[in-house]
Amino acid sequence: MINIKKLDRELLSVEKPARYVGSELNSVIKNKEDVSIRFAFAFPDVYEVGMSHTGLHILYHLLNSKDNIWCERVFAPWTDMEKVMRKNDIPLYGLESKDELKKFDFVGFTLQYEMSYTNVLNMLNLADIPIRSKDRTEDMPIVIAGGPCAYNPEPLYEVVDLFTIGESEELILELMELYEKEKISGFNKLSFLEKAAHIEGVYVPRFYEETYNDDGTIKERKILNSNAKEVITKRIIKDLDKSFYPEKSILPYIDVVHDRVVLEVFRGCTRGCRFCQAGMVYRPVREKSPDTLVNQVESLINSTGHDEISLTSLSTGDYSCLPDLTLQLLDKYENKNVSISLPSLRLDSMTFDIIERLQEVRKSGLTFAPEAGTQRMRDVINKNLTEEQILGPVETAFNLGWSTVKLYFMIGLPGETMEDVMGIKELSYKVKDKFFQRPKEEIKGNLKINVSASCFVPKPFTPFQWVKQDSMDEFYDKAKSLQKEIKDKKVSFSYHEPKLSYLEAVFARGDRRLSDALIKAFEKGCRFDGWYDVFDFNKWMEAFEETDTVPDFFAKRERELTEVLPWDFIDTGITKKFLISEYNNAMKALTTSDCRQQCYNCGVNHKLIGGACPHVINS
Amino acid sequence: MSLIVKYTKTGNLKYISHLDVLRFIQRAVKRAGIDAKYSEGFNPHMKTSFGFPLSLGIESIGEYFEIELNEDIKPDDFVNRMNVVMPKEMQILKAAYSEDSRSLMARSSYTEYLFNVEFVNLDFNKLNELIKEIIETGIVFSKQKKNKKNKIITKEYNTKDFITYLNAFEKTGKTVIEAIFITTETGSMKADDLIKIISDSGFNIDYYTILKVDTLDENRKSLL
Repeated sequence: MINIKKLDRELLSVEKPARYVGSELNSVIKNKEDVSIRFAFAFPDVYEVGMSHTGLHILYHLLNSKDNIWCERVFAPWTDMEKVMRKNDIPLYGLESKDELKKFDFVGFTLQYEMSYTNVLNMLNLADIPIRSKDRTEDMPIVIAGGPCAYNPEPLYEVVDLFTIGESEELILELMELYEKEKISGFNKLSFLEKAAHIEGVYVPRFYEETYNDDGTIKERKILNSNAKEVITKRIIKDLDKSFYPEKSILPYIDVVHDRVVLEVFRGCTRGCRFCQAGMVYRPVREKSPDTLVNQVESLINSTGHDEISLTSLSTGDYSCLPDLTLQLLDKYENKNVSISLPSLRLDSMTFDIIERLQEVRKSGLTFAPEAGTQRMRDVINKNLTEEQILGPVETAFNLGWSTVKLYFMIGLPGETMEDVMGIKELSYKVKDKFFQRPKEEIKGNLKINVSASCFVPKPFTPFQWVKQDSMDEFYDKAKSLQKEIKDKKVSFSYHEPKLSYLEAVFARGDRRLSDALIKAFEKGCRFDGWYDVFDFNKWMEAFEETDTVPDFFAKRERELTEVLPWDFIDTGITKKFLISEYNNAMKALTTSDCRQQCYNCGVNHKLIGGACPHVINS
Repeated sequence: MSLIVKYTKTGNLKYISHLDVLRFIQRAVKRAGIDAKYSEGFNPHMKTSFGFPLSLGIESIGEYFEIELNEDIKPDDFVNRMNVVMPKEMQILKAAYSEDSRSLMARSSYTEYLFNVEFVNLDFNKLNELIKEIIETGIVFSKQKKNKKNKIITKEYNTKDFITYLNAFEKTGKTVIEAIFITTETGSMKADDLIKIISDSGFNIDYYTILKVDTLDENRKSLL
């Protein structure tokens, strides 16, 4: 255990000390002597962000449901706490036991966002664990990582011993079983990793080597260990109704980002938006039944006392039993001061009678995501949304009494012209007109339209994985033009910082050659890069320069469709043929319909589930 | 029906702020399935009221809140049902229906503390002299405060206006200081200030913990 007195002396000097002490309701305390595997679930961001992540709650309770495993949590200490820890020699520790991380068997990071990579490094460093896998000795924890960014694991190849690709509810237990066996028969890290490499979805980067062509593109991947597979296939949970979902969730004392019961209603998405990585890699769609969900809500409400239930997924309006489920939940909880919220609704799938009943009291604000301003652009990205399908629901919302509307757009989409950019302004003004083009007596409230534009980041495993990102100058140009053009008291415009999106693009499609720059950036003090007030772009540029890394190569370069991509060895079930056909359609502004209407043979049905996807109507 | 409830806040929960405690207890009431009264209006709130906020970093075995209920529950049942859903660091000690119409804050006149102090090379006689000075002649100390115009001003206070009882004794090698502070709405002197005064008077303090023992009424009796 770390020196508790030392910690106690210092904790009052940091912001929100409750981030660092644990002891929350439903957190799990076990007797060290009773367990054989100590697992630290590491979230490389602050407590409030990490505690709002559903995956943490699932895996934490799943691992702790096994008698031989004790899973604890650890988050990235905020900059003030980092200073205190370094000054007083307090190593990073698990929140539950306060044992230093170095003593654990596993440190498992979840990679939700490329901009958290320096935090991964910093957390290892604060735990006195060497950053590079090769510098870690046998008695040090095995560092594993999963989550959406693990679909391109290569920038962290030197850091992480083992990646888990896809959904890990089953995989993680298989890995733990293997570890337990190996521990009994005399543990050896290499032998463990060799055996782990046989588990579906496990990727051990040290068993591979990459060579490059003169132009910097990848020549080939070589297998260095006979246990390593050529292709790593992602894992999915076939039946979500039967899959583990915690009956309890840890109740934070302090206010976290999502302070409510979060219920995952389905995984996957049928919409096929071409910019969206989640919509591709989480295929196929798998729904939970309303009965399962109602039971899960009940135990979670009873164990936490939360007063809000949030039904989440990539597009909750597409849940086939949404009316049934929400009405059941409303009947049960309406009189118990528990409200229901539905994030991630698409404009066209909105069922207003439900929404109205849900938000009976609080007409706080509606968020719409048209993503692009012109029809042509929306067709390029396959948003499958016409102007009428945007303005119709907006009008309904106004008639029902909403007056605050958020509109989300992207700039820098493939093939975008200045006309498309200005389309953002025009669409926003049309939304405004819908408010005032009503009889005077019906206009209530004070209209506020918040328009925000983020900078497009091309992601692996999407039809846009080959395209170049706009330069920062182009982004600034587009954003500033919009800022200049949108001059209306009712409409406000903001944009996401291009420098952040640039760096995100570098790492999203980066390869092994970014590792040195990443470590250098960390050494220069980069942390919390996703937090704009901490983010230091200049340090990053220095790090690239000092390591002879050319970031533009990864962000601003158009790839040939035949190029070997750093993530090609991962099989998400979606074929490259499908991505190429979608890419070609995008270039011609041709849309592809929702795959519930027609199957486009993305490949996921052949490989991962065998047979047709259950949601395809015409199959 | 208004129920007064006495509870603890110990261990790591000393790092939880007043507002967070409020929300946590309201959720505990929901978990326990107790039928509490809610306010009317757009954002219904559970009808609870709390005593003066406890400073961050201080443990307590004498915190209070008041709650209005729709059901006629026996105080002991309330205690038992709540404790099932509360962590060990926050347990309900007692509950009773209130006969006093004054608010919890209005009834709080004194606060009793226990300081556990680890001194380096303590001269116990000197400490006793200091204690005498603190309550009898008083020691003037200054604190920076924000005034109504949000400007930072320095204000001076005298310990004897805020501390009515102070006694130190040694127990198993550690020094324990018992204190009774006068409760003021502005919280002009906090328990931490006493530690600062002692250490500013030339005593070397290595480590300390503070426990709030109870809130007392005007007759120096426990509120419950």
